[in-house]
Amino acid sequence: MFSTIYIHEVKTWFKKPLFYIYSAILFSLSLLLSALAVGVFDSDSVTVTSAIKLNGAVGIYGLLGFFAVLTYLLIPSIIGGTIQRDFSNNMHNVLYSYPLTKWNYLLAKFSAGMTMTLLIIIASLIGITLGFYLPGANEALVGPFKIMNYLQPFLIYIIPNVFFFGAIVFAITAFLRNVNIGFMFVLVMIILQIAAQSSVPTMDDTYWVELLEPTGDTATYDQIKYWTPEEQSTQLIPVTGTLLYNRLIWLGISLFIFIGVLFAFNFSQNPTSLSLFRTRSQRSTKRNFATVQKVTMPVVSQDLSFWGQLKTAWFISKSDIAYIVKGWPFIIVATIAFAFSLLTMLITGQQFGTDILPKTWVMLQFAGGIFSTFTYLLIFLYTGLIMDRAKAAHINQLVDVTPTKNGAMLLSKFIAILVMVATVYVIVIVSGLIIQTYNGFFEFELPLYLFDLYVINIWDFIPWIFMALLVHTLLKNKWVGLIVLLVLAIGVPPLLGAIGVEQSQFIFNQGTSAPSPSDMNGYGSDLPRYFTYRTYWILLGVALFTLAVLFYRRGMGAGMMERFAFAKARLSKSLATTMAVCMIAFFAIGGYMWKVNNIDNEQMSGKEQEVMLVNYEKELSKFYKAPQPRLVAVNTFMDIYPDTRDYKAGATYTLVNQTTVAIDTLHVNYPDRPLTITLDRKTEIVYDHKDYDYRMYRFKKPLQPGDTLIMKFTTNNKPNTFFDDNSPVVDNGTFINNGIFPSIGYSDQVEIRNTQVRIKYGLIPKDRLPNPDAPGARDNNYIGGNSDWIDFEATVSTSSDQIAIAPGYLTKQWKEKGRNYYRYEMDSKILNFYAFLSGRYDVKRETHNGVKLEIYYHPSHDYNLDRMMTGLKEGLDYYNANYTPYQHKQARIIEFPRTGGGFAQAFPNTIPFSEAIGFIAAVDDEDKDAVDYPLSVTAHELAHQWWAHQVIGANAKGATMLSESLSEYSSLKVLEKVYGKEQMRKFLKDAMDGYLQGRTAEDTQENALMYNENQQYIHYQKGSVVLYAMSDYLGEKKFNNVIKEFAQKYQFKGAPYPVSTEFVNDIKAVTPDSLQYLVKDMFETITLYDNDTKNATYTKLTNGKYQVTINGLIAKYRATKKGKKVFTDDSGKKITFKEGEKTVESLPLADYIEIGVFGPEDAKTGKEKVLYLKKLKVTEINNRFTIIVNEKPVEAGIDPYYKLIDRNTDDNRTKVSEGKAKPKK
Amino acid sequence: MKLSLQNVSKTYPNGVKALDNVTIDIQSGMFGLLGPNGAGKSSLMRTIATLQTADSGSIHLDELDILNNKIEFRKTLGYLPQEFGVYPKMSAEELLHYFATLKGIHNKSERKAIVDKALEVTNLYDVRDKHVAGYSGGMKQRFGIAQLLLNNPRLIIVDEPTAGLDPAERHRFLNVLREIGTNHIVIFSTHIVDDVKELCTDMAILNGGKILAQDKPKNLVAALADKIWTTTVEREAIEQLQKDFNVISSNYNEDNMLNVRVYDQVSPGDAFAKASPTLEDVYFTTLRSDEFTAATIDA
Repeated sequence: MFSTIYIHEVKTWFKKPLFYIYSAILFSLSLLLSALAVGVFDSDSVTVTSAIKLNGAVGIYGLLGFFAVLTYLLIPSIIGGTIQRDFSNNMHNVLYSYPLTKWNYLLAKFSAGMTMTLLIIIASLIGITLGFYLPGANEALVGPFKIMNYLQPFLIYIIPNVFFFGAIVFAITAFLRNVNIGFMFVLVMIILQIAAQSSVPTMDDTYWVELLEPTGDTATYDQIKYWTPEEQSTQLIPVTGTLLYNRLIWLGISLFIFIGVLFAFNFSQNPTSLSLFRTRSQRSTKRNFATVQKVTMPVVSQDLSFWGQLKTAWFISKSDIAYIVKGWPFIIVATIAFAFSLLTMLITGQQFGTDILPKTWVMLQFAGGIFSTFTYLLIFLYTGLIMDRAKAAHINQLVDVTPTKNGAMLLSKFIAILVMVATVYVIVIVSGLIIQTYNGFFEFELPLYLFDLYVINIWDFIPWIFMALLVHTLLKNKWVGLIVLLVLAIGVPPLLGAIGVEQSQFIFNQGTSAPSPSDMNGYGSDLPRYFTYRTYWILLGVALFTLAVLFYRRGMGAGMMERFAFAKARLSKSLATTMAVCMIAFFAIGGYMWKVNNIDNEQMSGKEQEVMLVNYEKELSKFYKAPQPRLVAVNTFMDIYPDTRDYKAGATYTLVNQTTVAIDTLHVNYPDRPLTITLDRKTEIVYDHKDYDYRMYRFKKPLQPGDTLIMKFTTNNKPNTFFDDNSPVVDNGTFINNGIFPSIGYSDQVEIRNTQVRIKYGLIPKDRLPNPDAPGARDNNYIGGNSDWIDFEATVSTSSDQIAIAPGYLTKQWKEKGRNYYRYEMDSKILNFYAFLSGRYDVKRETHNGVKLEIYYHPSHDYNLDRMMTGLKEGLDYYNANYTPYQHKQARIIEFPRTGGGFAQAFPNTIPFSEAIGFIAAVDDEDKDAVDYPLSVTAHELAHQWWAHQVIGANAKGATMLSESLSEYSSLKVLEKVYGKEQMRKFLKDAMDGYLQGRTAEDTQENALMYNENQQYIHYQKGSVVLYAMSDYLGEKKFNNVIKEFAQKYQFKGAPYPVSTEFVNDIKAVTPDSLQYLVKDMFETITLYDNDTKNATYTKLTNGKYQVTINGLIAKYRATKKGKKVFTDDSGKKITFKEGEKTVESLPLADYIEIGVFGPEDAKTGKEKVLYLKKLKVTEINNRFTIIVNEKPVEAGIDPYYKLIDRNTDDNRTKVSEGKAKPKK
Repeated sequence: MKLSLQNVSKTYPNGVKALDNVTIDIQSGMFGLLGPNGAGKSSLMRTIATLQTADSGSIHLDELDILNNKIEFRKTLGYLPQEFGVYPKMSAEELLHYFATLKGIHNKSERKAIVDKALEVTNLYDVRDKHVAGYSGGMKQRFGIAQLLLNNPRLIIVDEPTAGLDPAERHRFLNVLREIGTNHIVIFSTHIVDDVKELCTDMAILNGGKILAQDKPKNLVAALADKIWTTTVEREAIEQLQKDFNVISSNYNEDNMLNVRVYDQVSPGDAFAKASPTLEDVYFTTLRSDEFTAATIDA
């Protein structure tokens, strides 16, 4: 019996086009995306590179996971459809009277559905696999074929998850007979899962989420989040720990549900209804006798004019609107989005554990961003549902014979969906207001909410509503329609990119996305461009809409040919005109865009850019070491016009031949914009390449050693138009740096350094930076290019209501022609690195030990000025005391709009600081895990006045350790001084996490700290952890002394510039022999610990003290540049320990590891009491520490403050329990 | 007012010829379309109602070419399909306003007047604010009538409306229909001969997509005068009887004998008595002769 039904079901599916459509869509998408990922399309697009072999288990898991989600959405229509079919064909009345056992019936039905779903996923798996081996696939991205890499994700995730979703959908369909509810369930689960996944990285303890998230992805993420490229390429995902439990739990739950269905199901005829109130039954009779009456219907007028039809559309849309808004799919999705945005705001609106103030733009960004995804889903889903609604209610024949035109019918659907979007926005506003109120932030900006959502953002959805209407018109099956729309939205843009279609005007509904407001600068200048793009796409949308009108399904089902015949017949003059007008306008705007993007401006595809950079290097790199005069002084002017967003600028460069040879040619990199250069001696242009923006001037008389060359230039932006923005000047908060000015000599900064790409184009592989000991490496510093320390003066002007700032001291200020002029001069030498700022600022001024401190801020952003001031003062104090004296008489912080970026940057005595960080932080002083980052960022940038602006590293590996790592260390020390060691824990844990995550995404190679090639996760995150630890091990004073002496040696010195190796040698010189290993571990190699506190117990001693016993494992290993673990030291030695079945390996140990025992937290301060904290020498993996403390211990651990790099810090600490010490194993 | 169909044919993709060169003129009044299940009645009605296209042929309502002026035609059309559903959670009144709007009635007072009238005519006024989805079968059919009345239609098409109605409902329904039919064309399909007999001024018999006969019911009946004979036989004799005679129908009586009706130009024998023809005889003889012709052609 089972097999009969099963085979029948499977056969039925094989006869259905639906199965082939699903399989074909998934297969081709999988094929294309995997082909894309391994660079099959490299001939048309940017070269795809990756440090990870994509056919490793992790790679397959990732790719397959994406398609699996799509497939889960199909489960309702497959598994649900399998059983639903009997209901909808009314077969159940007959079938249920047959002598089937329900077990056979249900099992067979379910198995058939499972089989079909899995077959579709297998189609996707085959697509993925084939993609790897298509001609043109980059072999470097594909590892050896291993069947387990494919089987494992399939067995561990796909089958159990399909079973889970299937069982629930099956239950829903069997009892409620409603596939739509099943679909909503799957959708909700997927949304919840995405929600869980996106919030997991910000959560500290994810244990329960890992267990309770049904797909196992969170548990997997926890297993593999720190995997290096090597591990991701070669290892299978370990099914242990929470992942194993998760799989077992959910398999159990699925089985439970499924068996529950088997038992509870009976072959009854009526579905279970989902109603809260049971209506009381009553006897009903009706009047069975009636009289005949005269029927004369009143006369009515039927208005089928254009306006009449508009009225009809509006009136009948109300029914659809009610259906949507009162329908519980909408309510559920909206509720989830609502809950999710509350949750997201509560846990992720944070930087370094500190909230940012819930400004309205923040709300719009978070809530709006979250809702936007949901809104697209709702549009795609509900368009299908309402297009199908009349049919599903069997009312379609009544509706279809009315004289209302197809256009009005479709328009009513459009209105309904648009109103739905508008309703979603109400929820966005409400959630924003709730969050603001909850946070006690009462600066509600209701007009901004309304303007941002209803005037700006809503237009972004309209083209997609039209598209959805067309797709659901053409495709009868709403699920296929939904999948097609998802593919169009998610799958098509990357595929177009793959074949070289990059310009947004060719990718549906792309182009300048809705600008997000800034407190300082409003919407900036993006709105005209945004609306141009929206108009452009809406015009196409209307054309799509008319197409949908032509193909609108009305009356009985028609074949393809018939529908085309209808469409032809329906093509009325007005429709044809509408379509023609829209298309003409669409092409007209498109043509204008194309002209602006391709003719007025240089447009290069990613591929062309890549080739250009290769050619640039091939042609010009021979001039890398060509002797050039060096820049010694800059006298510049910058006229900023905020009203028109224009600027005029220029400078006088003083260039001196500091070489020993005569220079006959000057090499100039110039910006691509109007520019005039004059030189004070006769020259001839012998080379000028407009793509490379590179020019060579041959001197009539060569520049002799010691000769000075004066180069003057003026430049201005190309004119701005409503669609073409050519200037970095903004209405309020302009921030421009000297990158816009010409520079001297060949620059290797733009060369491609990815090895895979270099090999492809026949370039010799080259590290991102040369070794510190490479010849010539110390000739230049890594910031100034062809210059050392320069003299600097600037005249900056701006409109009368703004203040303009540049590095240097204000020496003169005047008004001229209604504009403000400022003259800044620097009294000491600086790097060739400066910026110009202009805005409507309020200024906070203080003086600290003779140094003038100024903060230029947006008038309403006064929330954290004191914290920033403290950062400046405490920083000055600490750095002056521990390092060299501050070189300036002034330090300035200048706010700039978040649209310019979310960072702060240190120029000489001038620190531009984004409004998005610091200025609007909501620091909670009560929370020990909340970092005062307005203070720490300020301290970091101030530290750069030493670490970059006094001591600047050579343009070689490790240079940024001398600037970024030291600045990060400095700011940590200031933070520690102000807030105590407690605040370090959160900061260091985040830094560790950042480093460990950063190295998983390394696309070339991971370097040791002292050899880092401007790798942020190394110089910031690892740098802060390592320098803080080193200082801790050596003692702060001793360590700072090394820094101080290094600074004294190199401050304001030119070539040879300092290198990291020398700094590390200086550290070594003061490090005792017992700790020399630290220098090797932390600076010279990549070394990680695996510290694991197994258990800790205490016994009370007779003298009232407590004896604590801590058992734990300590192991360390090195990692290669690709992230492979190495356990042997240079002499090939390693140590091992057998822990049960497992063998723990380690480098030989003679390490000092911090062991701590802690008492209870202080109820007031939240600080724990340190009972014991000492670095103990460890030589074995398995350790037992016995410690006597004076008070009752609560927690204990190995490396309790996470000073050592460890991929799992969660097991460093453990609670101390009372009891007999467990024996050392 | 006249609805005329010229050579209307329709073949479905699965090869079934639903309409085979149908040519017919229908005048004002009640027009009954009689035919067995699967005869093509619904296809014909849906084609007239512009819900599906004809492969060939034309349909005109007076001068109006309805296949090419669907919207204009639909203004005057009232249609009640064989089966229909409604949107859940909408009352009769709401739904009728919905349909009235779809029919282009925007003047609020006019719309209210006609909706109220439709409710009154169909005797649904008292339950107008109840959800239609909860109506009984008869009430739902009356609602179907109410919605088709909303544009004061000139042509009304109702497809097997009495199937499944209890006798009281059926009567009420037919009465309403009859009332409307006085000034309009009402095309009314059924396989229940009595419906036609009681109501229709004109009728046609359709089978296999073809019009087999069209005339006033009484004319059709009159044409069979003196040609219908009846007898009563034992169960066992019927097979022989069917071989020998043109048996139209045979029904058991309470004695477990069979009352047999036979069509013949002259008396088939002594055992037979002359019977006065009924519409049912018309129906069966027409179908029989068609089957006979079809069988002959096949042979």
